[in-house]
Amino acid sequence: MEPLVSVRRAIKRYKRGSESVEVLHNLDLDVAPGEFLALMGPSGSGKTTLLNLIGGLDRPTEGQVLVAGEPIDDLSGGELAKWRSRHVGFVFQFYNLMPTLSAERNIELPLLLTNLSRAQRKRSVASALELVGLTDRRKHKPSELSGGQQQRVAIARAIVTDPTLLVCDEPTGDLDRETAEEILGLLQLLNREQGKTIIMVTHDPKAAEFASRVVHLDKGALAAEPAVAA
Amino acid sequence: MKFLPLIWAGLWRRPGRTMLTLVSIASAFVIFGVLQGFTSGLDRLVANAQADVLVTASRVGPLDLMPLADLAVLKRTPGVRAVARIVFFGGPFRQPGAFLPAQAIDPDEARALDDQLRIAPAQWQALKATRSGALVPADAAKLYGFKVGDRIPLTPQFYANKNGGKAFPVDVVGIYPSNPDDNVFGGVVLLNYDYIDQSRVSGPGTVNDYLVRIDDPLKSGTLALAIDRQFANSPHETKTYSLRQLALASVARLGDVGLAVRLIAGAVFFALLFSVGSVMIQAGRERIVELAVLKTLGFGDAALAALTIAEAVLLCLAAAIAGLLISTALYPVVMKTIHFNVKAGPALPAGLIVAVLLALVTATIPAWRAARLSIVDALAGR
Repeated sequence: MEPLVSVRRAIKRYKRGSESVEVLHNLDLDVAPGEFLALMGPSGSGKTTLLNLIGGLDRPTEGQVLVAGEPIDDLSGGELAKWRSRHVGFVFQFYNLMPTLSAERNIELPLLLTNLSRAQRKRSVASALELVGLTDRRKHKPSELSGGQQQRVAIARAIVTDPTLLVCDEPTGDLDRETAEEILGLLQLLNREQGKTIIMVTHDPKAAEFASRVVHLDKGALAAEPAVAA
Repeated sequence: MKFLPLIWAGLWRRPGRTMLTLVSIASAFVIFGVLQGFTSGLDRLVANAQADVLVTASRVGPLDLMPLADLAVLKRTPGVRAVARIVFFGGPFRQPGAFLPAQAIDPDEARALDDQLRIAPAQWQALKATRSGALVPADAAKLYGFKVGDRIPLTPQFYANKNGGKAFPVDVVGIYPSNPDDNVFGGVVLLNYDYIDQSRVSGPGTVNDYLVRIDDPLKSGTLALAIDRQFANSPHETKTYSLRQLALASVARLGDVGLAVRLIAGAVFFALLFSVGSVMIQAGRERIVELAVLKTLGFGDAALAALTIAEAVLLCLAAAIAGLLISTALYPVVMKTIHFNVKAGPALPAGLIVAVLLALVTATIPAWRAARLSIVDALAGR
């Protein structure tokens, strides 16, 4: 099967003052459609950098990133922004919701970039809210929601445009165990029942257990892949 | 429109700061509104002053009386379309300090001369038919509670009645709509010249001014000279000028008001530029992560810059409108305080343009920063 995501000989270097630091070294990675991949590794191993390349938030210094066969690093800034809005949903560790907007307005944000009518946007938001089980909290602002509920809103925002790919950066890093498992269960549900391809960065081996495959990064390179039961 | 909730929410991220910024911008626009209202009021005064109506008065001064015989000379002057006599008959009314403007005229002459008067033919007829009749402008009628049929005692400043008293009783035969833009007869009580002339002790057969309507306003200068030449070396030499020249001279006596107003408004907005600008920059800095998230979701550089600018425009426009509305309410009080009676001209269009410019200038840096924002650095807190 053609991989949905292909990272080819990716090198990423950052300038830190006069110094150039190489964070990823000649990295190759394929992610199949419908896969739930956990990216693990110690701090500074390049997990988030790799996730940023796959999500189109950053470009490799050398090498290529292909998503659904399209080399995204060739896209201009504007094209890349459009591509992200259509194909990728993002979930962050600290939820990153707009504090002044209600849950439903937060979820609606990516839809503002589409040509959908107000009624269509409302319907999509209602479906996403229902899926994450927060219909009764739709009018609440982030400060009126618990951490788990905020992360559910963030997941609803990530899936409301029905993207090809979900990229999650430590989505349970700020949650207690029980809430974390709820969120991971929700991601697993999206992966299994809706066929969403998910790439999740995590430190937590328990979280990685929810993934169908785990990849370890160490010092900017892939380590051997131990098998994980889904 | 679909972005409005997002823009609105961004604006109220810190309600206290937004309110203070709104108040400071609105305060500046209160000052701007009053000053702009005053200068545009003066401009309108000049613009509305008719260039095709000349005033022929005595060279000695406006209170020096001229013989009624001059009327025929003026009517015969080539280029003159109509002539109307005027006797100033205004004076204190009911209480000291209150002034009721009134003029004695010939109804047919006044009607032919002032095409801006909103007096119905029946009202003119009523004035002609009632020797002691008076046509009262609506604002004076409202102020003093006059109605048709009332007899009111006028007490002109310069005349006494032959009956031995100071008062001249007149009968209200009509109330006509006031027209503040008509600076010929637009806001005065109109009386029959014959009645006044025959009742007054001094000055019978004389007038204060003649109003002269000419065919071509472009020839007002040469015609004014031609009129004055006819009365040169006579016992009553004249000085003729157009109403527009009179308005310009009145405004010029105040000095360069426009420059003064621009300097004051400029200083206010210069200060405002820095205070609002720093608030906008600070607000942008606090929202770096939020802007990065929007960028992550697919908002492009231009869209983020536009959102930032739209927030500033919304804030400045809302504050400007509030400030200008307050200035409209405050304007009459200010005019009363400084003893000026200039009707406010339009301040809203200029105010809105200034508000948008203020928003564009103050939002330039935050908008540029939002557009240039690196998602990765912003999300990593760098």
